[in-house]
Amino acid sequence: MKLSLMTASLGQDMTLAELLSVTEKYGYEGLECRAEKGHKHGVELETSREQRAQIKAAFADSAVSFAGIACSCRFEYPEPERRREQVERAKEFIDMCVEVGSPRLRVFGNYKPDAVDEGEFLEYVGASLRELGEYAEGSDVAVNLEMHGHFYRRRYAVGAVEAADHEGIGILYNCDPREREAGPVGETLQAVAPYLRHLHFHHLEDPRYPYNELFRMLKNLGYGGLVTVEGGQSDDAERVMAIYARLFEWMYWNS
Amino acid sequence: MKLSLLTFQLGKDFELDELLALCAKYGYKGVECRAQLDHKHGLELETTADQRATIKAKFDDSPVDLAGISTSCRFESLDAAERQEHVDTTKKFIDLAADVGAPRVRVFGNAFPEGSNKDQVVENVGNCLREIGQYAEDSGVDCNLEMHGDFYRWQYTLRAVEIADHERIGIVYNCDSRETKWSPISEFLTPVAPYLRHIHLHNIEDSKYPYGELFRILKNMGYHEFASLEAGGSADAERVMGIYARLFEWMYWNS
Repeated sequence: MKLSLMTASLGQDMTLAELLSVTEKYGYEGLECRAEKGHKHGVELETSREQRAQIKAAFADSAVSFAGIACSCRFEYPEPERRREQVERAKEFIDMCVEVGSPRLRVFGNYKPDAVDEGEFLEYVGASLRELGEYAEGSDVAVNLEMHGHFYRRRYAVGAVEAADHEGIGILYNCDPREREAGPVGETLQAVAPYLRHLHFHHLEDPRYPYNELFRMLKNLGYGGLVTVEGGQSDDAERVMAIYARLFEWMYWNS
Repeated sequence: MKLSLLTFQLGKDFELDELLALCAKYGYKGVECRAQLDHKHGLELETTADQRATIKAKFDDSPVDLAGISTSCRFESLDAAERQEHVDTTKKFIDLAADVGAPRVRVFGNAFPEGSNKDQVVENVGNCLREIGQYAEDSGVDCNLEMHGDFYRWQYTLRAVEIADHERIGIVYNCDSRETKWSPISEFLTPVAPYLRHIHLHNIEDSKYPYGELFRILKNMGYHEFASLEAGGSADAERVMGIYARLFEWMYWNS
């Protein structure tokens, strides 16, 4: 299992060059860039061809790999035209992934509107995903639905991805303490395991989520992919990154 | 072994109430107050009898213990009058410790003055410590020489404490990465073990010092006293304290 850093909050104020430098220094093997938030890394749809080539070159020259782009695209809307906007935007992100050398794109299902039937909801989220999977065919970019918002529930995440029914669509497991309402985290992880492509951790020191249980499960599942720390913003970001890297190492190998 | 926090840098800007609350929240069993640097905790020689009683009451009401008082007193000077000043200041700290309920005071041998005879300096330090030990005899307060400055070398610290030859005089082991250029850290710890009363950890994520090895050795020795985290300052001190406590737990129990 390889540790990477997500710039969702921790690291949001660092340039790409700084991020590549500090992640390498502290043993992170990958970097996932949160787009659409104006973060300093500058990996955004608005980047020019030349800038994309520079981003690709910066990763190619680094020991740190490009773990992915995390966008805000979400397919929760009951109005088809709003979903269409999101799907088209996600396609632009897929193109961008190809250009900068990112192997994965994170998208959201997000929140089910109260007035929408669950079956219908999962069907249209799945249809959006399927369209993205078809668009990404031949591109080597995987599109992963994050277990975020209402999709922390396994039946939502699995339901939408099964509705998509496309090998280019996977699940990003999100270490959400709310899962425990429905049973041990192992039950959620087992349910999504066939589609598991990526993981987001949060505050590793927070006992509300049983990270050691997660690590044991992942070892048993034979998961050898990336895991990304999405820790909260800090005024002492480099220090927090350093301690998290060490904490991950101790927790993972001793769980 | 019990984790405590030394306010040398991390925690220096917290008032005593905040320190006690944060230490209790994150699982630190003690606070060691660094004096003579105007830290916000306010535990100083200048505190009045009333203030001392208040400090003692706060610790009595808290699950967090007062692990000790760290002073700047040092006995390296070749000038007998200057050494006596430091001895007299240390005696005042012994009184303060007795008043506030601190079981130990930390002092330095420190650095050999340029051109000095090392044996003479070590003997001077030992004599100062003996005088302090005699003063502290019935106080319930130990005075511990830290393996700091040139006294990181176990030979100097051990010799000074042997010269002092008083049961109130012990050693603070200081996790100094310079040790590793000489030999395994066990060769430093084993000779000082009979006098080991306290430990200062630093940035435990830093691989320059083998903390895993330290924890194994201490467990084998049956050391159950405090180890104070004396980590670098942070603009995000509470967060860093929280993550360090978790990292310590994983490192200690899995070493």
